[in-house]
Amino acid sequence: MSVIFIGNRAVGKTSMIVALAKGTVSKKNKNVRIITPNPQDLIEQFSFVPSNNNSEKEGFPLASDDENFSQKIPQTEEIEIAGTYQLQAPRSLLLSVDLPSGVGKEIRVDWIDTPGEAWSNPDWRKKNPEDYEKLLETVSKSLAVVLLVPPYIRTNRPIVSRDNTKPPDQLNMETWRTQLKEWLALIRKNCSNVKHLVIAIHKADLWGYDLQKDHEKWQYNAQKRQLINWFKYNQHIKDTYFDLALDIIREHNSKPPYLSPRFFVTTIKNPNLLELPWVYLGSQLAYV
Amino acid sequence: MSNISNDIRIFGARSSGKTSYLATLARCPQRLEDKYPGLEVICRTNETKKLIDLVIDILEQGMSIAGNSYDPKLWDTLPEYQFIIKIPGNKQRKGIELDLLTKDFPGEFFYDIPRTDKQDDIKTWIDDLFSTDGWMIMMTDWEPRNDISLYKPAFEKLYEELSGRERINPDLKELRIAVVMTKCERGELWPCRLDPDEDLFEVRLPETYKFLTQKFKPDRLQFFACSAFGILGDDLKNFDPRPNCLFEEDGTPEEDAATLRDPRQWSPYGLIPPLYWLATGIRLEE
Repeated sequence: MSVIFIGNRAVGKTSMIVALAKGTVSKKNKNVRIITPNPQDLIEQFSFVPSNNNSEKEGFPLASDDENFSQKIPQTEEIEIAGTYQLQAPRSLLLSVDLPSGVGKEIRVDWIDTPGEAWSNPDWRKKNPEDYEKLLETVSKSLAVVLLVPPYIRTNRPIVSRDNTKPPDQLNMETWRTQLKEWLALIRKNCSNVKHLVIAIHKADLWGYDLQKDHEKWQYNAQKRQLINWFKYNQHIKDTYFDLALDIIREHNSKPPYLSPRFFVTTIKNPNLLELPWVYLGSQLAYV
Repeated sequence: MSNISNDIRIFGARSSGKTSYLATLARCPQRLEDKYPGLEVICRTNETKKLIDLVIDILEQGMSIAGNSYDPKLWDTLPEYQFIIKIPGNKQRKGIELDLLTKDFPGEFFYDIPRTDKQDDIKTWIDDLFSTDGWMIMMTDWEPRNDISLYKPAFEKLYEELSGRERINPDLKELRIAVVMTKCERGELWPCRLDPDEDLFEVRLPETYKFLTQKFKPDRLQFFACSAFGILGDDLKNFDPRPNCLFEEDGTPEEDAATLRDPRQWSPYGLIPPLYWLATGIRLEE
């Protein structure tokens, strides 16, 4: 049962898993925990401490054509996540997910990370046509696809991050719409056998949007029988955060293979919101 | 109460609600039990018990059930469900204890049945169908063109196979086929559920209906209406004809995105009659 993560460079595909591992170690996660591999090992494997020099970590060489890589991308965590430059072999994760039918349900998923460059850089695709084909084939054979998209700027006023730099992956509404449309076209073309599609606006805290209300209203804690209605949650997220793309979503949903996305907003700063896509996927994948 | 063992296959078009049917049966909501006082549904294996968890984690939480993956080569991996269903008798019916064994075939299989280029791939599946006591074939009328393009060709092929095999194995003349129109909670179908032959199948799937009624006598094949979700209030005291399901109004085809609206009002319709008829040849009215 493979779950593949797709999304542009620096959108946070790897960081989403690392955050799950961190939440497991710190016990901040209430519902989803990584059992194997050892979550601490996962954190160490994918993190590095940024320096002012060009960072290079063994196993993650810098792409030679990526001149901007040394530009510091604002992160919402102290330890940065190394970029992924090649299609990763599936890594088997054993997760424990608390579901309404019982806590600690063990679900094994093959997590496949993908290089952001492949999605965001047309030159990469031209230079690596075979890798790109292989990537698309892997996507098409996956059971679930998780597409992470960056936040967009809702107003004309750029959102400024903590260190006064404009996050490079924060898009204006029109560009964000265009990108989402392209993603969905790619998914329709390549995912006829995929059963689940999750789309999350990740790093949503960079948006300057107040996620506190969502955090308070949509608390999920299966052990305490605090459950959420997923139909309503999906509607809320779609209407609140994806409202500028409802026409694009409608068009996508009405076309084969009829793979309607479930929508989420996530940030590594909020374990509750971050866990929700996993609880959703866990619920579904428990019955495959 | 007589004991009857029945080995059946449930198959039909994609998104026709096969898994929802089985999961609802396993969960046996209170109002289903109310319709058959003393009804007991016992899930005999862990695989079968998982259907109950599927309802608790997915349908009762506002999610919809995804389609089953289909790979003709993986016939051996299809889950097998085993139930004991105790249907107590009353003045109208004799009580039975039904030992039910069933498999839930992915919808894509149904599309392959009439395809000549797929016959080798699905041979194991087809052979399996003819090793059973009965079939429950599920369909919807969402796509009117399915009448001619999907259902009729599939039934023509099944009839051809059945006729050929009956000559070699006369026991197959006992095989019963329940043809079930599912998702009848929809407003335009709900009133028609009482006479599914004429009001559902003859009107909505006329070519398929004509073919089936010409080829099979009623002791071999009968038509049924069913709704796993039901309507919000189906008794006279608390009548509420709204379907007990929700659809995303976001372009998703309705048959792909239904979830239960209110688990507390869950009153499935027509789940038991096709099973009872397949086992006994006697038709129950619900």
